[in-house]
Amino acid sequence: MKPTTPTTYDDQLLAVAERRADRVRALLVRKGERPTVLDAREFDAADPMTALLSWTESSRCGDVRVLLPASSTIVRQTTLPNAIPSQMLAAMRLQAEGMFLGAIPASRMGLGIMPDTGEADRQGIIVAWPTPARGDADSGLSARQEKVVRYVPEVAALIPLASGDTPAVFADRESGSIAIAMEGRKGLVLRAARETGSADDAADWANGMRQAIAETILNAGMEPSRIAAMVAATELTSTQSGSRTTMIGRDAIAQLRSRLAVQVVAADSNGAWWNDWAILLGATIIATGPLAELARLKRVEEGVKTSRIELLVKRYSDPSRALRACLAGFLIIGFAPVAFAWVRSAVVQWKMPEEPAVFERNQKAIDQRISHYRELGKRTLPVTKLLGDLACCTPDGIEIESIQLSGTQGISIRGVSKAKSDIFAENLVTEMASNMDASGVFEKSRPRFDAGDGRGILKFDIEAPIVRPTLASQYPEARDWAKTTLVQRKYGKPGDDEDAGGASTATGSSTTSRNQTPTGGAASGETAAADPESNGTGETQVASADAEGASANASTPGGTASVGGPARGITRRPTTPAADGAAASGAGAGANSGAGANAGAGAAPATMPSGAGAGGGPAAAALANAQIPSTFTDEELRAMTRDQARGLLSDFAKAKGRADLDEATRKRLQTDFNRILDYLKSLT
Amino acid sequence: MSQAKSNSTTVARDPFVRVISWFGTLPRAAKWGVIAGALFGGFLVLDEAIWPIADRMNERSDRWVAMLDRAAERADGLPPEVAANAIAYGPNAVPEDEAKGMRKLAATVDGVLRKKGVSKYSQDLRRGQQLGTDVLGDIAGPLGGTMGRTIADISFEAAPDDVTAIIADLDGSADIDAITDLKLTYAPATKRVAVQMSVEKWGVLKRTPKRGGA
Repeated sequence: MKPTTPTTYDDQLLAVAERRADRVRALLVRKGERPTVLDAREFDAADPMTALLSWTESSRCGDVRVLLPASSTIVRQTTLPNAIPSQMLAAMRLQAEGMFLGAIPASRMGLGIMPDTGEADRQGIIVAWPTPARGDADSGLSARQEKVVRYVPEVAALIPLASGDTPAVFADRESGSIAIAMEGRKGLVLRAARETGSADDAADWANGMRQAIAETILNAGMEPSRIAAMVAATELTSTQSGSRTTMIGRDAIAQLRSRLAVQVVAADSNGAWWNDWAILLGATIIATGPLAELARLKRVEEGVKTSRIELLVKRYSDPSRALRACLAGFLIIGFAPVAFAWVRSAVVQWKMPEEPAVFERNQKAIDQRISHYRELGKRTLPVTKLLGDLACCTPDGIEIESIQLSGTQGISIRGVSKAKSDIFAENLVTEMASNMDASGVFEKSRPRFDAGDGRGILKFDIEAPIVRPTLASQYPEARDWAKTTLVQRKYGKPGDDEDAGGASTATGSSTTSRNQTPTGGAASGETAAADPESNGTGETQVASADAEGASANASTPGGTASVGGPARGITRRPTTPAADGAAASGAGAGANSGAGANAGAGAAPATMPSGAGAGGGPAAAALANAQIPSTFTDEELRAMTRDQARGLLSDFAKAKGRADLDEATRKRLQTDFNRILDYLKSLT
Repeated sequence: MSQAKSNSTTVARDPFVRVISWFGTLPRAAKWGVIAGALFGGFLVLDEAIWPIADRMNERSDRWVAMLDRAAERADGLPPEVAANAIAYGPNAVPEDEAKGMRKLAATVDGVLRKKGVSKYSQDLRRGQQLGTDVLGDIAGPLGGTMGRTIADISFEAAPDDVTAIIADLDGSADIDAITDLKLTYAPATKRVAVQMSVEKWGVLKRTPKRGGA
């Protein structure tokens, strides 16, 4: 950035300016014994004052005087005893303060003492520039510009033009301002007046001005008989420029010529120039002469800083501006809330992930679904989920014949329990009740069973209230149909080692050992570790099930029962809730995973009727006599139907249970068993 | 002079100056009347026309903000009981008109049973059972009614596999809100399961204006 060099002003230069409606006229003067007018310019730009000040700055002139309309000022004349000037000025200042009661600041007051005429008293002139009640009109100057500008009252500028023959008059019809100066018998007579109400009528204006001139002549001590003639003579000297009228006699022009040196070309070539610029030339003489004190008025007292509040008050003291401010305030008060609301709305809208209408509709739907699910939870039962829970609570060996679910009466189960090789039938019932209580879904299950028959089969029923129907209970993996299918329970997961079919299926089961005494209604707390041998031999039931677990059918060798064994629990919902709103509220995703899975819901049982296994003897005999199926080719396997494959799987399962197998045969059976399982999976 | 006239005309054209000039010519009482009228009229215009626009926008923004807050809460996770219910009950359609729901319920029951080869079944529909005015008021209110339910009592017999599939299909259908009562009885002789169940669909019972008479 280019550094700005401070302007060095020439103290001897002075600019005197006159503001008109559309332009500013100015003279550039060099002070001295005989002031010299260096230049005369007119500025009619959009902002003529700024143009003027730029010009003065470029001319290194730091002293600018602007004419102050007579209508803005008050003129008082006084007489003072002849003394040294400082004493006279002090006395006059006291008089001025007495006149205006201190209402006018010193910076807005000009004092001048007329030259000594040899008389005992001297004439003093006081020009005051009172602040209007509504504040100063906007000067159009910035605070910085205001600092370099001082004001010369028009009436003071007329002093050098005053003569005894005719008064010097300077008037502006637009502002109604009239300044008159005349040399009278008693000395100089000055008058500053405002002619109001006649600006629109030329005749009225002329009459008003004429009357002011006549009064001034009268005040000057002229004989009344001469007044009319003098007024007429004055009017003869009138020249018009815009709204301004200047009346100056020839002797006044001569006076100007004698006291000023003018270097402006037009002054020599154009005779009217002197008349046209007379008021500014008069101001120049005043500003550079002994009456310079009259030409140093300032709008704001130097050194006194006007506060922003004062400036604001002043600025809005103008009724027109105040009315504008009121209207702006009204509009702001009226429309600001709308604007703020609109901005807020736009910001919120911007935050939305989709169109507001769509988002609102979706959110409303979600809210409604949430309310709906809440109410359903209060008033109904998730029946399918409860059947799934029941399936997971039912141990092997239990055949369910009847299930009754009711929101008011809870669950009521009736069925048959068959003892397994190492577990009493009674223990299976109590275990089931215990499982139900442990699930948290049911509570205080009440099992009842009869004495049973000699084969270890007894009838039972269990009743239980449903306390937390929607609770996603965590079941052991071995009991959870969603994790361990029936076929996996029975024969192990594909790929497991050789004894997967026997040992692994039993590892998770929690049953009471036959060696333990049944405890009636309460389940035994002890759980027996799975015995691979005993479980392996106890597997007399072969399930044919598809690996996907959509359904599972089991049949006992004796054909005493046929049950659908759910491979994934009875519509057990996934235990991990779909946490996001969409999952739960949208399509209810995640809530229906078990659709179609379930078998046990119906007649029974999520468990295998284990009649053969329970009894032990006949089953063991059957197992011992099971034939070892021959191997098969892939083509043969692919040619099988699902049922044929299941049947073959059953044969292999039986054969695997034989204890007398050599290692190679056992391995072949396991391999073929897995091939059948894979084939069944591929069918689904 | 012409310039002065021009300026004078410019000043006179300034509406604010003209208003102030006009105001200055009024008698004292009229001035107070004008001030009071301007204040009252201005307030009426703002209060009746302008500010309600802002109020409406703010209400809408408040609603959106509340909605965003709820959505943000839900993004962190549904209330546990709602999530558990959603998982337990499966998909459900928000209740609409009761009559419409009833038709869908009957159609769904019929469709599911027929799909599983159960053509012989009984279905007894009980309509218009009010659930109470406090139940799902946010859904029933805008539709101008109260929440009610249609209950279908169904009984049929089927193979065990079919029964479980039917129950799962019915419970999983969005057109059925819940299975309320269920009784399954296995008959070893026929190897079939007898099913008695009640399924229900919720819907809005429209209020019918009472007919008055003299």
